[in-house]
Amino acid sequence: MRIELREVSKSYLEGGKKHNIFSDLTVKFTSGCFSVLLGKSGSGKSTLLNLIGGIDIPDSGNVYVGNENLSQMSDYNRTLFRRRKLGFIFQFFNLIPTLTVMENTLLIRELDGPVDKEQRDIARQILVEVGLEERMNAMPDNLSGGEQQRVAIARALAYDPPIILADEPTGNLDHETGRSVLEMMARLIREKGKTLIIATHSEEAIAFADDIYRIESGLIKPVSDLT
Amino acid sequence: MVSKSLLKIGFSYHRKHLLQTFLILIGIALGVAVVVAIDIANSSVSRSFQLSTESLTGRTTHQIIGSQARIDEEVFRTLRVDLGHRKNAPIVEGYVQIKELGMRTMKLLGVDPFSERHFRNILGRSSSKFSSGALTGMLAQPGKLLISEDLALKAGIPTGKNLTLFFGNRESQIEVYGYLKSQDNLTQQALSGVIITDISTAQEILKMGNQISRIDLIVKEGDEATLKVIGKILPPDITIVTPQKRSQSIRQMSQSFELNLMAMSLLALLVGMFLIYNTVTFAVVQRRKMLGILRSLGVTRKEVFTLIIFETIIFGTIGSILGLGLGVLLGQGTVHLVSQSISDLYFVLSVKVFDVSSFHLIKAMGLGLLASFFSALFPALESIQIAPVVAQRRSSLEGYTARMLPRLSIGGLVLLAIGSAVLIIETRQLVFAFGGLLFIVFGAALLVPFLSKIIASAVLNVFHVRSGLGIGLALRNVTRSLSRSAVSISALMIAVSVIIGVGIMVESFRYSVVDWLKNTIKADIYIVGVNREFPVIETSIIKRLAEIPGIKEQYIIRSFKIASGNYAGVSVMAQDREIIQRKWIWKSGDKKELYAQFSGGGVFVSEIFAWKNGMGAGFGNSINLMTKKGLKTFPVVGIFQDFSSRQGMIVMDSRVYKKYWLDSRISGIALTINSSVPVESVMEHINQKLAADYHFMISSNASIRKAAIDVFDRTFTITIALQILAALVAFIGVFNSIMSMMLERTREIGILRASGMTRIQLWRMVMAESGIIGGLSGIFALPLGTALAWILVYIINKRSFGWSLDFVVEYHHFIQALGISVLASLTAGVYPSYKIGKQAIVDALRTE
Ligand SMILES: Nc1ncnc2c1ncn2[C@@H]1O[C@H](COP(=O)(O)OP(=O)(O)OP(=O)(O)O)[C@@H](O)[C@H]1O
Ligand SMILES: [Mg+2]
Repeated sequence: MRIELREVSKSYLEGGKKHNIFSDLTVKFTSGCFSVLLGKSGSGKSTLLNLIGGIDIPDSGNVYVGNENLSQMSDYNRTLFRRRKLGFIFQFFNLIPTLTVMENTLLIRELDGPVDKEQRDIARQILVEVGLEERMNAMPDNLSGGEQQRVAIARALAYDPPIILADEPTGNLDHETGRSVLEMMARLIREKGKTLIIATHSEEAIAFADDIYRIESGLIKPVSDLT
Repeated sequence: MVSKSLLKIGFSYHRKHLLQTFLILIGIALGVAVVVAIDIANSSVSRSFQLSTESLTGRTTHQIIGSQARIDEEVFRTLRVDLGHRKNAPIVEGYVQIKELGMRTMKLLGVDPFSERHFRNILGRSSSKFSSGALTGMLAQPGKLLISEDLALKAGIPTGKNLTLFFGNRESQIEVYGYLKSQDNLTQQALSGVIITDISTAQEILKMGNQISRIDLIVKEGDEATLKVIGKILPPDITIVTPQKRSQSIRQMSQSFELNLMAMSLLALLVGMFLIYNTVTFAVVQRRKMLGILRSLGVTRKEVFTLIIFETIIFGTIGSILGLGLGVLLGQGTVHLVSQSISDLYFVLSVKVFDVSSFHLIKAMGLGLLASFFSALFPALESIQIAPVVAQRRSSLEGYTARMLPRLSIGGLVLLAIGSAVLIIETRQLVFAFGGLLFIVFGAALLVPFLSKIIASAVLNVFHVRSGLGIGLALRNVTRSLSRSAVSISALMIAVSVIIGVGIMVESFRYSVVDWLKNTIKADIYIVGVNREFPVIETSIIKRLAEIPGIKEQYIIRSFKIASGNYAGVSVMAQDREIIQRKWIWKSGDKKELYAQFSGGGVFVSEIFAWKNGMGAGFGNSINLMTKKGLKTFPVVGIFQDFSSRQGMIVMDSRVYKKYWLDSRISGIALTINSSVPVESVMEHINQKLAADYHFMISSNASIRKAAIDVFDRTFTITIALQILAALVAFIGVFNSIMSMMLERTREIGILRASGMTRIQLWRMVMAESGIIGGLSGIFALPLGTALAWILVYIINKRSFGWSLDFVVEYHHFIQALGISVLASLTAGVYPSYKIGKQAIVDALRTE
C-alpha cells in the first residue's frame, strides 16, 4: 500500500513564534516493508507518524495513503480511515484502563458495530499469538510494561489493517523486554504482510528493518550505511 | 506552612483549570450564602420582635394582664383610687392597618397622658419643639393621633392630615395631630411601628368598650409587699407578670420555626460541602503524578497535606466572602419571607428591620472555612498516601478502592445504624434529629460505590452488554473507576435526595392541611368579630341572622387567646355544638361517651397543645385554667389534629365556658345555608342588613380555605427556594465531576480517537456515562430521599412543631427527581464532550 508525503510542511506556533518542523518534505515508504525512523528527540519522528496516521494534518502539501489523500478528507472520513486502515502502537498508556485485555483487543473492531463470535475468535487467536491467552480477562494495569505493549500490538492487528504505525513502542521497556516486543512485532507483521513504520531512537530496531530513515533538521534521508 | 514554590506549583494547576476553580468557589459561596441569608432573616425577626414588643416597655417593671387580654377599667380605678398606687399606666393596644402607608400593619397604642411620662421616654411635638411636656398636651386631644417623626417624614404625612385606619373591615379617619421622637435609640426605632392615641380613642377604634389591654407598673426592686397588695385586689384571672417574661413566652412561639429554617440552611451547606469535597478530590487525583514527583524530590507528607488544605482554605476564604455578599443580598428576600410567615403564623411584627451585624458575617465565614476544611480533609489524607514515584499507576488506586469496598460498605451500614439509633432517641432536642439525619446521609454515601458496582455489573450481565462501546464502555468506566464515579454519584444523590425529601415533606404537609381544612371548615359562611386576639360580636346578631332567608343553621362560637400564664398564646374555643369533623389522635371513648364527657366539663385539646404540655394518649390528662372563678381543673377527653393554632387549642362546651368565665358574649358564628341559595347572595344580604350595626368580618368557606392554603404556601416558599438551590448545586456538582473525569482521561480519549472513534461515538460515550451517573444517583436518591422525607415528617416536624402529618408519597416526586438527576448529568455532559471532541488528537496524546 502506497504511503507518500508530497511537499508537506508542518510547523507549530510556540510562544507566538513559528517553529518549522518540516518544509516541503517529500518521502515515499515502501509497501509491505518494515521501515524504521531514526532521529534525535524533537526531530519530528512523532510528527511524521501523526501526519501519516491522519491524526495531525499538514499546513500544506499532501499525504497519500493507498488511494486516499488524507489532507483533503473530512475529519469523519479520516477517522474511519484510521479505524479500518491503520493500527497505532504508542510509547505508553496505549490501553484503555477500564477495559480488559480482551475488550481492549476488540475495541477497534467494535467501533464498527457489535462483534460476533468469529471476530472474538480472531481476537483470541491474536492474543494467543502475542502469548497473552492466559491474561485475556486481566485489567491492563495489572500487566507488566512488556505485556501491555503486546496487548497494544494485538489490538493494532486485530482489525487487520494494512498499515501499522508504532511510535517508540519499546521506549518504556527495559532492553530485554524491548527486544522481545520488537521481535514479536516484526515476526507478526511479516507473517501477515503488513506495512510497518516505527519511530524510535533506539538502534535496536535496525536489526529487523527493511528500510531505515533518519530525520535531521527537517529532512528525511534513507540510511544505507549503518556504521 | 507551605513553601512559596510549593504553593506556586499548587496554584498553577488551578490557574489551568479555571472553570473548576470557579465552581469550587460557587459551591462554597452558595452554601455560605444560604446560611447567611437564613441567619440574617432569623435575627432580623428577633430584632423586629424586640422593637415591636419590648422596647416600648420603657421603665415598666411589671404588667397587669388578664388571661383574656382584657381588663375592666374598674381594676385600674381600684388600683389608683382605692389603693392609692401612683406609678401605673393603663394601656390599650391592638393592630390596625393604615391605608396611607400601603396597608401597613401598625400597633395602635392608647395611653393615658398623665401617667406616661413616668414610663416611656417619648417626646412629642405639635408645633415648636419636642418635649415630654408637649406629649402630655398632645395626648389630651381626643380623637387625634400621633406618629413618629421619622415615619411621617418618610411617608410625607403632614400634621393635620387624616389617616385611614382599618380594623377588620372597619374604617376610621383620624387626624395626625403631632409627631413623636425619642432620644433613646431603641425606642426611637420602635416608634416607627406605632401610632399613639389617648385611651378612649383607642378603645373606640379597637372596639374595646370600657376595657383596657393591660396596666404597666413601676415597682421598686424587691418591693414584694406592694406587689402582694396589688395582687390582692385583682380578679382571679388577672395576674402580674414582668414584661420580660411576657415577651419571652410570645417569642418562644416562633423559635422552633426559626430553628427549623436554620437546620434547613445547614442542609444546604452540607450539599455545598459535597461539591467542595468532589472538586478537591479531583484536584488531588489529577495531580497524583505531580505530587508523586514532588514526594520523590523530598517534599514531606506533611507538606503535601498542608498544601492541599491550604489551597482549599484559600478557596474557602474567597468563596465565603462571595457567599457573604450573596447571602446579604438573598437576606433581603428571606427577611421578607420569614417575617411574613411569622406574622401569618405567630405574632405581628409592626417594625421590620434588616439586621446584619459583623457577628453574622464572622460566624458564616467561620462556618465556610470549617466546611472547606472538612471537605478537603479526606482528599488531603488521600494525597499523603501517594507514594514517591514518578508514575503512580491508576490501577493501584482502583485496586485500593476495590479492596476498601467491603470496609466502606460496612462503615456505611454502621453509620446508618448509628443514625437510626440517634433518631429513635425520644428527645425534643432537634440537634439529635439533625445529627441522626447527617449520619444517615453519610452512611448512604458510603454505600454508593458498592451499590453502583452491583447495579452496573448486573446491567452488564443481564442485558449481555458485551460490546465495549457506547453504553457498555460507559458502564465499565463507571464501575471500574469507582474512585471517581462514586464521588460524583454520591454528591448528586445527596443533592437530589434533599430535593425529594423536602418535596415529599411539603406535599405531605399540604395534603394534611387540605384534608384537615376540608373536615374543619364545614360551614358555608363564617362571621367573626374583628379583633384577632379577642373577637367579640354582640349577641343580638343571632336574632337578626335568623331573619335572613337562606340560612339553615347557626353554630355559635366563643373564642379568645389566653394572654398570660403557662398557656399564653393558646386559643380557647367554646362551642354550642360540633360542626367540625375532628380527626382524633386520641379519644376517651366512643363518640357518644366522648361528647357526654365533653358536655360534662371535659375539654378537647389540639395535638400541638398536648405535645407541648407533655400529654400523651391516655386517661388521666387534665389542665388547669385560670377562670373568672379561679383556677379550675378540666379533664382532657380527646386530642385532635389541628393546624390552625401553632400554640395549641382548647375546645370546651359553651355551657362550661359560660359557667366559669361568666361570659356570654360570642366571637363568631358559623352558618350553613340552604343548598338552593348561592353563598354570595347570602353574604351580600348579611352585609347589607347587618354591617352598619355590628362589627364583624364575613368570609365564605372557599375564601377561608384559600387563605389558609396561601399562608401555607407562603410558609414554604423558602423551602422551595432550598430545593431550587439543591438542584443548582447538583448540576454544578455533576458538571464539575464529569468535566474532571474527562480531563483526567484526556490521553485515553486521544487513543480512542486515534484508533478511529468518531466524534459522534465519543459524544455518545460521554453522554452515556453522564446518563449512567445521573441515573444511578437518581435511583439511589429515591430511597434516601424518602428516608429524609420520613425523618423530616415524622421526626423533625413532629419534634419541632408537634404536628403529626399523613405521609404522602406521590410518584411524581420520584419521576421528577430521576428526571432532574438524569437531565442535570446529561446537560452537564454536553460541554465536556464538546470540549474533548474538539481537542486535537495530537494534543490529547501528548498529555498523560
Ligand atoms: N502540539 C505541539 N505544539 C508545539 N510544538 C510541538 C507540538 N508537537 C510537537 N511539537 C514540537 O515539534 C518538534 C517535533 O516533535 P516530535 O514529537 O515530532 O519529535 P520526536 O522526534 O517524536 O521527539 P521524541 O523522540 O522526543 O519523541 C518538537 O520540537 C516539539 O517541541
Ligand atoms: Mg516522539
